[in-house]
Amino acid sequence: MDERLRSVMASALHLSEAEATALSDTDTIHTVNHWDSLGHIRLVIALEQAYEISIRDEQAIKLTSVERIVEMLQRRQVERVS
Amino acid sequence: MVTDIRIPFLSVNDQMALIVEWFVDDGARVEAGQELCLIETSKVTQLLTAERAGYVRIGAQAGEELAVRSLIGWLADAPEEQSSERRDVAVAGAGHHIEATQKATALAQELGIRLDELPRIDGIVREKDVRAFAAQRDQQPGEPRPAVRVDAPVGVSEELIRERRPLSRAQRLVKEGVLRSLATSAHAYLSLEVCLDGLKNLLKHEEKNSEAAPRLNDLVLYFTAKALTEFPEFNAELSQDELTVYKAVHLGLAVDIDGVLLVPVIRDAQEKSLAELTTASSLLQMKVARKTLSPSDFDGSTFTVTNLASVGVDLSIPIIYGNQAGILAVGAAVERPTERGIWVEHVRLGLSYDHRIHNGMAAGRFLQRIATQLSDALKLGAVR
Repeated sequence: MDERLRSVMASALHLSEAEATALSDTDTIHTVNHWDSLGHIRLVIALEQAYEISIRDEQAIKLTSVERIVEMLQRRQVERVS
Repeated sequence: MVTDIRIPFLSVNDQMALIVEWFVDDGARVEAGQELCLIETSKVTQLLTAERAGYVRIGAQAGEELAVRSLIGWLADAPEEQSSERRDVAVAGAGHHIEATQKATALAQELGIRLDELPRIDGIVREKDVRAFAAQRDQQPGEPRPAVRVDAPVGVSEELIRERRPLSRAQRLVKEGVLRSLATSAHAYLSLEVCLDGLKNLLKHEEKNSEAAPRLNDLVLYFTAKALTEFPEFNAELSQDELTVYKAVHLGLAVDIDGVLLVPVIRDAQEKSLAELTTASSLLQMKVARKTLSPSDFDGSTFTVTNLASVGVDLSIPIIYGNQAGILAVGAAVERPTERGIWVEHVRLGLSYDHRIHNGMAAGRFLQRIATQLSDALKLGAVR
């Protein structure tokens, strides 16, 4: 995961420096502290603001792992370029 | 041709709505889809638009609080056209807008009944409503009405006061709702604790079947819906001496938006798998956060669940919502040592129930059923 996403997740989920550093592509909603239902909503809104994208609610509820978030961001990037 | 403008049915628990503002003048020409007025219930603000083009006639003013389906105006092809209902309706009552047919008004006068004493179920008081009220009054001449005592404000030094502000309309309607519930329901409470050993494994297992990630609250919602189908008299509302037991389980989720209690609904929860229920509850949470809930999201809850785990509350004793038979409170998971000396998370489930409908044993069995199903799933590591 890139540093930008790490920074967005750390801020939205209120992670400590050590927790932010330890974030990896295999992390999910069950392995990260504070990634509860309210944390998830904060994260979705933070992603929208940081990447200037709009995430539909139906898609937002599926972004429950770093892998899914990275996939979504890559897809949006491709859509934007094309 | 005349088309009535009525307060829409927004929720089974909202019998009244307030007209906040009219955006058009009486007699003005409007186009189809044009904004007419704003109405507000305890849960939602709704914009009413013109169903068709015509001349709008205003029958109830901003600031008036009326029953759902009340006539508040009409659209006519000519400004002088009257609603057919309006022709037979008189407006009576000091300081209140009460619509009653002429026959009802005459009968009420004859029987010495004030129109504002009558329940206004459909907004228009009719002759049969007056007769029914009179019959009930005569049968129970001395029965006291439920009353709520409100203490007068105590005088305090102005220096000690940060600010004084009136409650918003929504807060006022919520206040009236909870006071009505406390005044009319016989609140009683039970709680029990469930050991959550195996929760992480269970959630991980169930996540494979879900688009959204299920959480403890989703498990509780799921097993509550199942238990309500086995204990249908908790999926019910009591109004006067009649218990209405519902077939479908429409779970209301008590949430807070800007200090106002709202209860959006997951409809037909009894038919949903855990994955479907998780999706529905996650979508509602997103809508709450984005403030994009629509009136249909509030339609007809039959049982309510509240959860204050996000602020660490491990036990709450909630007030029953509307006329419902009960409300379930889900606490925050708290670690406690087990008999084996291992620290394991536990959750406390609390049930407020209406003792007029259920005794303690029945309420205990209902709560125990939710807890047992949750415990069984935790032991199994899967939801069957």
